[in-house]
Amino acid sequence: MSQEYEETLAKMQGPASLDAGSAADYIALMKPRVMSLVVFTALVGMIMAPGGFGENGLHPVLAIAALALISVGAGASAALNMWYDADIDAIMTRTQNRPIPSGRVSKESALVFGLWVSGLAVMGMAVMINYLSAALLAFTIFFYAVIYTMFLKRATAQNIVIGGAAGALPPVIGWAAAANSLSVEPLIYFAIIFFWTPPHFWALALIKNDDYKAANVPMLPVTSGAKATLRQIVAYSIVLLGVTLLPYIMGFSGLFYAAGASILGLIFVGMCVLLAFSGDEQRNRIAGMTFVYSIFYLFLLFVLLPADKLVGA
Amino acid sequence: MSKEPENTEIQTPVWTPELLQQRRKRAAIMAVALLVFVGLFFWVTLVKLGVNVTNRPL
Repeated sequence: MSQEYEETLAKMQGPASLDAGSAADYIALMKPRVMSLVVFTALVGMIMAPGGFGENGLHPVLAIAALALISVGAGASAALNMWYDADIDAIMTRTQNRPIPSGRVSKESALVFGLWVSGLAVMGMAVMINYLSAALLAFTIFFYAVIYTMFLKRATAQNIVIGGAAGALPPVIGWAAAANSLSVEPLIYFAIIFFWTPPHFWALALIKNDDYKAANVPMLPVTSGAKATLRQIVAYSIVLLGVTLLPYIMGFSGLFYAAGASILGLIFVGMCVLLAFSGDEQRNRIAGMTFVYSIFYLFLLFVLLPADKLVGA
Repeated sequence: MSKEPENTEIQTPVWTPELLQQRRKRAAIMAVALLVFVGLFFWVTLVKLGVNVTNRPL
């Protein structure tokens, strides 16, 4: 291992270090960009729930509280992830500047911060909103921080496939916060994010393959190579297209949604096919485009769901 | 005579002015965050009580 890595490890595990982290470092621990997508999908879950924000739905103040608590809970699980993954974050170029590997926040502080904020978010959800959404939030934090981070990530190439369940739960929590019950619709929103995660993440893993290899993380491109990963990306994009049409097929959404989801999905499948047939020189560039488009795709799908409700109203 | 351990020095961290300032800033932001949390609790309580908040013997 490199001297630089040894020094970084020493910095993280050194003698009683004073915490030099700023508030911005603690916010960075919560992965704010991931939080924004979590908040957005949870909001859509709330809007789509019976009553939505209407007369029989969730009061706007309770909706704001629920969204704040979901985002804080997601951020806390991210802090716990960074606490546990500090050793591999120090190796990968993408994550070397995170607060712990760079020595700005100690591992202990990140752990304490993550546990406290998780507890506050779940407790707040139970007291202010309802027990069902609190239980789902607690399960999401546990699944991400323990099942994914501690067990799956370093053990199997299916890490992000199974671990994707944690990222897929926010619209279900949003729905549960508003309706205090569950039904098929939030499970379809869950399935959409669940099947979206592998092609989204593997596109990034293709670009950062050397990083994952160096850190010994068994991402699919590391264990099975680029060709097998590209086949999986295309397969998942096609399955995803089918899953995104379920709200229309099952009668929850109208033609407006179906048309939008079809166009966006076909573009995504097209990009994945293009990526699969790209040469080695072009691959990283197209993988980057596919990764960026996948974020845009998921965002627009979750815009289309409430928009269709408005159009159909 | 037994040999003394080589490194008996206790490494005590030192609070430099920069670190102290950083800590003060963190504490201030934490205070604001806690106040927001308390405010949220209060606001949600009022919403949950609704009109019943005035429905009590005076």
